[in-house]
Amino acid sequence: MRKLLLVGLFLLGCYLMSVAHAQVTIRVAHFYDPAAGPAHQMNLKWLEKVKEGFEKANPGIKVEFEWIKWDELDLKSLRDFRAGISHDVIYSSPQYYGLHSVAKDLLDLSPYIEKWSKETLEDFTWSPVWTSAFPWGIPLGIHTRTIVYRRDLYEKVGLDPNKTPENLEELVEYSKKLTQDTDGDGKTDIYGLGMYFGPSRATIELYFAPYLWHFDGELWDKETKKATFASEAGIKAAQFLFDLIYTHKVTPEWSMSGTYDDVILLSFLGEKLAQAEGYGSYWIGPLEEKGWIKGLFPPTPEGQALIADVYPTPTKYKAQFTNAWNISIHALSEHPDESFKFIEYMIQPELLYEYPDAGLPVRLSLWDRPEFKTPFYQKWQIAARNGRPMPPTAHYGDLADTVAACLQEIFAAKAPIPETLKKFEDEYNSKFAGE
Amino acid sequence: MWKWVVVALISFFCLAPLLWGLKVSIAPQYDTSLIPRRFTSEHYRYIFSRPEFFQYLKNSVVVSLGTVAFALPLSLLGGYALARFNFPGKQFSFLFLVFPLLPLIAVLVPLVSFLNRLGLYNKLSALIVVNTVFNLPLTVWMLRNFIMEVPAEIEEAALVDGCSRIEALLRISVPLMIPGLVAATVFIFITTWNNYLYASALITKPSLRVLPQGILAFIGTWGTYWGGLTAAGIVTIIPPLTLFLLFQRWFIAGLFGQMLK
Repeated sequence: MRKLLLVGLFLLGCYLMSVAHAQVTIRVAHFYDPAAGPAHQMNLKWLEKVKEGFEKANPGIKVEFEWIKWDELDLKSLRDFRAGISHDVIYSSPQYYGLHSVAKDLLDLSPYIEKWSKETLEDFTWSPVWTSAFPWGIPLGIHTRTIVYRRDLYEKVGLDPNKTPENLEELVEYSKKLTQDTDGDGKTDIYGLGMYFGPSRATIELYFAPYLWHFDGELWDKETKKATFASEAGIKAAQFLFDLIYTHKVTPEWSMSGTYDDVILLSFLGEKLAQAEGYGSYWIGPLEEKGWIKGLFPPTPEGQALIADVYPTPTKYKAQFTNAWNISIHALSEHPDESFKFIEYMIQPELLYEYPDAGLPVRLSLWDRPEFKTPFYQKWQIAARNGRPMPPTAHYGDLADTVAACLQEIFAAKAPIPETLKKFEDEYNSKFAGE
Repeated sequence: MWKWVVVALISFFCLAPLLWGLKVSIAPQYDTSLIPRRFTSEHYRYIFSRPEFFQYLKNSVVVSLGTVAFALPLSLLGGYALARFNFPGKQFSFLFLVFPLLPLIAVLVPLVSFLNRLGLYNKLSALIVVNTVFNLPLTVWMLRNFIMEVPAEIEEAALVDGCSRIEALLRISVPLMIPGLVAATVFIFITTWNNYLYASALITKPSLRVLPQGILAFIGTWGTYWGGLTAAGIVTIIPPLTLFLLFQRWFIAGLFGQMLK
């Protein structure tokens, strides 16, 4: 009997010891698929390096990856929250923070951030992506856009490639000069200014909102929770874009079809556009691949823009969309402290410097490195500072789709601008105003 | 003459996306011309150089065959019950055809929650269960029609000769309704193979992802890798296409509830 008791006590002791030493496993949900292209592989390698370093530094915490498609991350977080399925660390997008703040499926990170030093905080708060992320997430990089242009074509039409447009009038004037019928068949072969108005979120974010903001308008009113894009500013913005296609004929009619990357990236690389607006920082690599820039991807202090170069869109200050992939903690996480520990490890300057996703560093101190001091990257920094997020409405997706559909009707059917904007705004407000 | 023009137009309409996909998969990246300036196998080489792609392929095969293995016997027994037995409520069996019209997204949250409580979240078996459940209504109905075409008297004779119900079904009716079984198998395999929704809701473990998830990953946040996407798409349609071509005759006969003469 006594032997049995001793064996029992021994087993209980072993069990308690094993529980005490049990590892905590945190799951990190990302969207990088190693089979889906070199960019995915680069980012996954980076994440694996972060995981390895973190596990070494924190022997009691194990990291497991989860994969969710990039445009489903936020919706999956919401859906799983409702279904009672927990995640720990999860990538998130600021465009959905209106929805997350209503659903409360992401953890408010304020209690953790409060413990940060002033220096660390200031290293992040310089850019608008911080305001769009906090308190639901922490930005990992900066996605911003510029106008990409062909230096050789500038020279060909008698423009100085070092002097780019500084206002909208100059932008139109330059674009007209750059629009060319190279073979003399009466059809335009190279358009002066590429834009995209297809059925996608890019339409509102990169092409309509910046001009609406430039003309001092707003997409959505925070107080009344109503869409306001049919204002005078909205009419001016839509008219400006309409004129680019039909009056000045510097933007192709096919800007309304296809995908954002087809119309902007591929058309620019395919030499159909002399300038393209809304060119993302995530597309610096293809310029290097094409040989149009040298030593700029990855950035080096000797980097040079040869054939292609960029300049910040000449709209007013803070009238450009800038966003980021953020890192958040799921509200059902059973290990929020360990999760935040992982996030803090991930955003160390040395690691973030190597993060390939956005192309542009989110920490101000990293911009002091010589490779980011080149004129090319300095222009990206101006664009990064000159940004703002999308409105924090829980129905942002519907707002974006409404505006894209509205612009398609205006451009494709040449529908009257004020009436069409009003019609779509009323339609949106009848469903979502006040919510 | 007009008939052939219409047929040609419809065929072109159906085949154009496939041909375009094929063209993009063998053209260099960023080549937007209608006829590629040069041909390349780089996109195919790329996807075949990734071990993950084979993992997705394997998972899709496991899930599709697993679903067939579960759904087919259940459909057969369900169809047999509907065809041969009388039971209360049988007159409402047409509701089987209404069930597939239900928008699946509407039941996704409770479904995921339920499977999570069963401990099936992030398991391939969850996909097999869900695909089986959602394939059953149509395949039960398909097989019911086939069983009804087999004269009940043959089975009755087998019963008189000492066969059990199951033996009569397996030894007498099943050999007579092979086209129906093939049609149901192909149907279950193709719908499971192509399904993305359940996988996106139930699988987050990278090693358990299935092909539709792998293909959609090519549509990225920085743009779409069209070459890889179309190459993976072309490779992915090969198994269902082969299956369809092999059993085309039986599949079409099966869909319309006809026995092959």
